[in-house]
Amino acid sequence: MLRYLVRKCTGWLLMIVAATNLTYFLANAFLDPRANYLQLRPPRSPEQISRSLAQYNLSPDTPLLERWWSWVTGIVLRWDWGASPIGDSVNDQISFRILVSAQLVIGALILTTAIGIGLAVYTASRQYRFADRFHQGLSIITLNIPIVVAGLAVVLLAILLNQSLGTTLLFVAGAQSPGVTGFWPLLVDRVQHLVLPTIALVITGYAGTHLLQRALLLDNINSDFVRMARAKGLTRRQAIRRHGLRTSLIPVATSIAFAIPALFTGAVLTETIFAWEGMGRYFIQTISKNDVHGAVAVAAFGALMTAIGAILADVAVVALDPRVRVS
Amino acid sequence: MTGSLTNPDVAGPAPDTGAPVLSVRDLRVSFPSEAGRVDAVRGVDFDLYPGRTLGIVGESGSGKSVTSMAVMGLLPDYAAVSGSVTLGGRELLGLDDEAMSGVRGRDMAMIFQDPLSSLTPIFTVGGQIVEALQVHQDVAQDAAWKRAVELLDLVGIPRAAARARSFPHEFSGGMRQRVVIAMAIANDPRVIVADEPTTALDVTVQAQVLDVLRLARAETGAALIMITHDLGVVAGTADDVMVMYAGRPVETAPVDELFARPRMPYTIGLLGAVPRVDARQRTPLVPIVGNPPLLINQPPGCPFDPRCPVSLPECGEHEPALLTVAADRPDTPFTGGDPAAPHRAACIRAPEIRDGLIDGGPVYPTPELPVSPAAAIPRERRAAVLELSGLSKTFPLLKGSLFKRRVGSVHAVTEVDLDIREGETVGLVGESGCGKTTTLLEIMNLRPPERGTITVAGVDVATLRGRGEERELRRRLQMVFQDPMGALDPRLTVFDILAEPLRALGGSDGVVIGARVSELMELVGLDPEHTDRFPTAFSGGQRQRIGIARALATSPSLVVLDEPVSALDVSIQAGVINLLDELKAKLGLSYLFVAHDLSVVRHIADRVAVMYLGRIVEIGAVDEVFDDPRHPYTQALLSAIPVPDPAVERSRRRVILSGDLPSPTDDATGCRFVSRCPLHQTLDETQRARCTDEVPALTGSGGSDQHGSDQLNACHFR
Repeated sequence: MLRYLVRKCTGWLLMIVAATNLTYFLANAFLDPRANYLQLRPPRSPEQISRSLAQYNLSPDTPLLERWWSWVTGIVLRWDWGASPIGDSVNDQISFRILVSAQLVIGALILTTAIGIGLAVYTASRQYRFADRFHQGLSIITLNIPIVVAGLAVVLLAILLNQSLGTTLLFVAGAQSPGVTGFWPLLVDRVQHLVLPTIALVITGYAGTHLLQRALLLDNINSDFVRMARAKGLTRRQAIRRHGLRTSLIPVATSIAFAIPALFTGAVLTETIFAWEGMGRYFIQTISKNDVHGAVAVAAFGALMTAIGAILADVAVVALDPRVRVS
Repeated sequence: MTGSLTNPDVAGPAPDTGAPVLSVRDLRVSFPSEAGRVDAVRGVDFDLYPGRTLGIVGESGSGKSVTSMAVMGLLPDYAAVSGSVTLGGRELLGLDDEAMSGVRGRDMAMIFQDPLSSLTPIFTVGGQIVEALQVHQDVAQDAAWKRAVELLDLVGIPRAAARARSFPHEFSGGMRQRVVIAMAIANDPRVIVADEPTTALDVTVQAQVLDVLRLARAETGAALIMITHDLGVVAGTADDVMVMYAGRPVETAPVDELFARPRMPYTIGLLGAVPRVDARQRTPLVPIVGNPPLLINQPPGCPFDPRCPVSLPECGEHEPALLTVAADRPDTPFTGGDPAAPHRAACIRAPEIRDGLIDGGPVYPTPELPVSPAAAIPRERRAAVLELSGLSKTFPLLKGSLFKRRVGSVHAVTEVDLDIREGETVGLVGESGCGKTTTLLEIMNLRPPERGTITVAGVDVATLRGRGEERELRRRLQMVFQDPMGALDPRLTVFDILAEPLRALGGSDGVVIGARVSELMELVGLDPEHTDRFPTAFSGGQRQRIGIARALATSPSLVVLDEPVSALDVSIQAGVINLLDELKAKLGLSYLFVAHDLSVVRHIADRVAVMYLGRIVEIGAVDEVFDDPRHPYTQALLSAIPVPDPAVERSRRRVILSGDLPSPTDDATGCRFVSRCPLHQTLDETQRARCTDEVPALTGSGGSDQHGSDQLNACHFR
């Protein structure tokens, strides 16, 4: 198992290196950091602009390969992912934003998965009854709610709630309040901020897992081996849980694992609505501000998340399906 | 080898106490459907006595499986079940899932049809048996595992202790069915319900599994309900038989009585429709016309009335009750002497039917057996329509994830020689994986084979140049497929399906094609008016007729039939077989008939070739091979086929092969049958060495007394 993991990780590492370097060249071809200086008043001469950019290794006057070489050596030797055209360190931005995004995404992911699978088991064992039809309808509706609508609705309701309580129980913007210190107060404050975006993400996200897991589970519930398990003397619920669910979890686990990278960099709208400074917004910002190094770093992070998702998917399959012999 | 199955509570078969262990009274099951309420079971009564086997026979849709599922309480919630099912005096209907789960597996166990899908793929077989034990008994993990290994050993899994840790996909179908049986007997049930337990298996494996089932029943003393469509299996295993039609029992009797003196026209029809592997004389099969009813909004009257050849006007008025019929002859003692199992039939004319005859005549009009004009000419003087010589086909075995490298070969077909003459039917038989289908595909390919030659209608396919020549040859060679549902494009009308081969061969005149399509429809016994319908509007048997008509569209000389009747119910199957016989005589066709059902082959074929692991092991005229099989494999194969006659079944001696078909991957020297050969065991050392070292050639039996016999077999010692 360890050898298998090492081999897998090496493969993905190579993939990340290749993808990141490719993105570096693409970003240099499409993003022009000089544009950021053109708007400044008084206007700068092209020489001035190049000089300013040169200190961040972004000057178009330096040959591309030379810039690339100093960028790569910076990462390999000093773990320095460079700076934006106005001199902000990419490292600082990313390290702070990963934590923000992780808070937002991991809680939502766990809740989406748990609610989705739980609901799937509940509705699949009641196929075509009222509960099943009701939840299926509800899931189809929530699946089609844009995150913007869900987010704003949640904000609106929270504001009403806060007003009726007369105190700010749930914060509608930001990841934390300034000036809070101490472990417990900080934790409470974080949770108060986290509740609303998580609710918005869960509302729009659980239905996918629910519908997929329900369909897969139904295939298995009506399968011969679940009937055989019942014929052995297991109750219907036991047979579904022990024999049906585990078999049908495998494709769901894979799809959830692969959804992780998309969640990290794809929660742009949620972050915008709730004013969270996460990876998704950063991605958009770097591109719109011609921040070559920032965009490449986000791409590298995306590649890393994909690798982690794929490895998690493999681990999940091996854990769920003992037939898979790792070799 | 045989493990002990001792449980302190149960010692050997329970004595016959006289009280039924399971009683079913007026069981009715209906399902809602879009077309209306489907009454799948409409009043089933039976008593099952300890230690006895009840065979439930019927075609698909007769309600036999639904009955068993209702008894087990495994029907979905939306099924409406009424009546009474009592197990040892306890009413089971109406118990909730939890209460029923205490009964299932402990008092009543079930064996399902498809062993490939009835085991959970992600758990070891040992673990699944342990689960069955621990659900009902308070046993520790170690003890349960030990018992699971004992059970696996009992049902004949070799190296049971090691194999218990294997997953289901590492077992063959027959071995998996043994595991299912082990699971069923784990808690010494009082009733075992077996729903088509051997339908998905090859005949030699079927014989093994039926043996295991007999052993399991003897060990547990359980009563067995055997549900099957195969009258041969019933004849060999059941004590009492219940024939079901349209959701109701139409005849019940002890097995000998039922097979010897059927009283209900449907039973007589079923018995007449089955070809028999031991039939010396070639008599045409008697098909039952029409299709089984749909069970929605049944009209009053006997449900068999529309298909019954001896129906009276009264038959359409009331559904006849299942009544005890008097013994055929008052002077002979009633063979079904057991008063608990009298002979009952649901037919108002049952008293008139004696010994399967009505008013001294046959119940069913016997169709005439068509005789092919080609049969008059000796075989050697007829032209060959297909000749295979040294045909071989291997598939590479690849390994590696990125770069595939060849690590071995699957020898699917090895040096097959075969010829088919005009107007002749050659049956190609063997178990799954023996290379039948590969041989067919190689022929249909019309490409030079890997080794050997294929000659169709005198043209060596290696000499074909260009598409035109290939198309011309393709016209002479057509195919009929196994699955009538899958072989017809559901989005084409029957007209388009039949016109397609004509157009493909360059026909463009609409009038000519239209006339030909009508002619083809009539030829296969369908109404030419129905050509504008889609395949879904036809029943399985009718669809297979359309498939045959499509094959005949180009007026071929050879039709390759791949299991053409195996997906059909027996009463329908007989009609299709008769049609094939008739077409052969009328059109002078030759058939290459591939089937695993040897009874059908015996009925339809003139010559038969038996394949084992890619080689032909015996070939000859059908009667010679079936009556006097020489090769040990042919002998085993033939003895494994159940015959629909309980007296014959009891007196037959079976050659039961051990193990499964080995994989044909390594081209071991010598005879490929050696690992399972019963003859090999009896030979001395030098003879055995010959078996393992030298590939036996296909030769005639030395000093054959039958002159002109061309029965060849590939065994050194036969």
